Amino acid sequence: MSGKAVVITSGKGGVGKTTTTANLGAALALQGCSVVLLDADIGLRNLDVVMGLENRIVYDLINVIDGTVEFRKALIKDKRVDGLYLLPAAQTKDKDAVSPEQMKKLIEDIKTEFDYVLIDCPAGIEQGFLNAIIGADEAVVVVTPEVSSVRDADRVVGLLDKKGEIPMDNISMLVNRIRMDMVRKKEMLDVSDIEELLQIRVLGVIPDDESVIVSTNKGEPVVLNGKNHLAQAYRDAAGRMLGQDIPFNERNHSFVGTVLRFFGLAE
Amino acid sequence: MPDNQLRIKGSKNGIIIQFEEGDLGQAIQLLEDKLKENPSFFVGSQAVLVIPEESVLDAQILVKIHEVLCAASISLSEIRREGSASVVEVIQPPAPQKSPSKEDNQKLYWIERRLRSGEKLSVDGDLVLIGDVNPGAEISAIGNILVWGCLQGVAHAGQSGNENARIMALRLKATQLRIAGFISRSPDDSLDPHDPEVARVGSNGIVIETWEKVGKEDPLPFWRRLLHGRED
Repeated sequence: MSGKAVVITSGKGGVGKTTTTANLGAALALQGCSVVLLDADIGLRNLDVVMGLENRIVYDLINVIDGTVEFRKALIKDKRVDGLYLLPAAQTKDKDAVSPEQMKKLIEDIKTEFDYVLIDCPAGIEQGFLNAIIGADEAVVVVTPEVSSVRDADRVVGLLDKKGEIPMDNISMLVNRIRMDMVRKKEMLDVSDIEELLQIRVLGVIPDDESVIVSTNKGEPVVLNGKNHLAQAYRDAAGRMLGQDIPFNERNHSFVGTVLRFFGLAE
Repeated sequence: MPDNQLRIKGSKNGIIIQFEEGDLGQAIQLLEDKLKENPSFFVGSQAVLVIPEESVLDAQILVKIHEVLCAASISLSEIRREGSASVVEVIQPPAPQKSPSKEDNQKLYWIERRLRSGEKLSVDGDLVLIGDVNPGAEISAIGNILVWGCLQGVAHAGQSGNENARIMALRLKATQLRIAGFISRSPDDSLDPHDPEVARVGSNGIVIETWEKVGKEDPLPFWRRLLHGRED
């Protein structure tokens, strides 16, 4: 079996890469895939915190790379979802502790046993970024509807194509923290504006919602909370990753808008 | 049967004209006929042209496309290649020149790709770029620059001091334009340009005019030279 390695990246920091990795991974596992979440942000790990698995870390990425343990032993199994595992980053070393060749080899190894490896990429475009993209077959670029984020995403797409040798067709974007009320008032970039500039496929559109902050602090990916409307947006994105044809509901209207339209009160 | 060579679709930002497999020349002819059937239908709209992955774009075809769309008052915002948005780069050998005046005797670079933020493209001749220049990207040329797409980054023509160099784009929204030693930045309240525009050095620095206007004043505008220089 050979799975797929997908890097979650953005260039700009603070746009939601780690949250996206956690939720896409959990959503893929809910769909029956076996998934390893790999935290490539060495020295500043926090995927384990977002997943609520921090207190179960025994071995980390560096221990695997330097041969102390094999990767299976370092994996932490998520008890909430079948088939979901985390390989945490080291907190004590920095990004130069790993070489691109070592990273590539590790990802190849994991891919032989799992359906998906989701790589949480550090911010920036330096060594840590190069390590994170080297073994990836696909990339998801997280972008928020801000000019600076879109600019960085554009730069990253160019680099993924050139340095990571990831073909354009395998690069998609996830628009995070969109506020449809502001888009309608033309105060925020629309998905189509971002699409026009980046010219890559849209994997998902995630509305801005404070429940993400609550769930992040609790260490429970929001996608595990079935009733939340964000959970649906993440599940849809994961479904599209698996090749399912899922229409974009959240893209053009909010739930309230849909109800109003239904009664002819809005357009 | 001709119908599967050409498809016209509407979209939020204008119309999408899609040429399917086969001869581009024939497809353009079909498009011309279609537009003539309903001459007023598409007036004033923006069009994105999608061409098959394998087809060959040359100057003659570009000029023909422009003429056909102009006749129907459609402005072309972009040419896209079907399938991947991946980088296709074609650098042509220097075009043979009929009149070897000093200015004309330059290499012509014919490059087909999209320039993303952080990318730089610099040539030692004239540059015809088929694709967009995104904000944060830079292009420069010793000679003229013609962008068959949306120019949003920085462009520098006449890099070694030629003040007669021009910069032309289907949509000229550059952050900054430089011609020889002159610099101009985009106005703070810039409107979205609808028509192709040309930048040149005037008596008070860089001026921007529509392609149509410059074309009327100059019997042999530089882009004609650039585009035709290639097939001679």
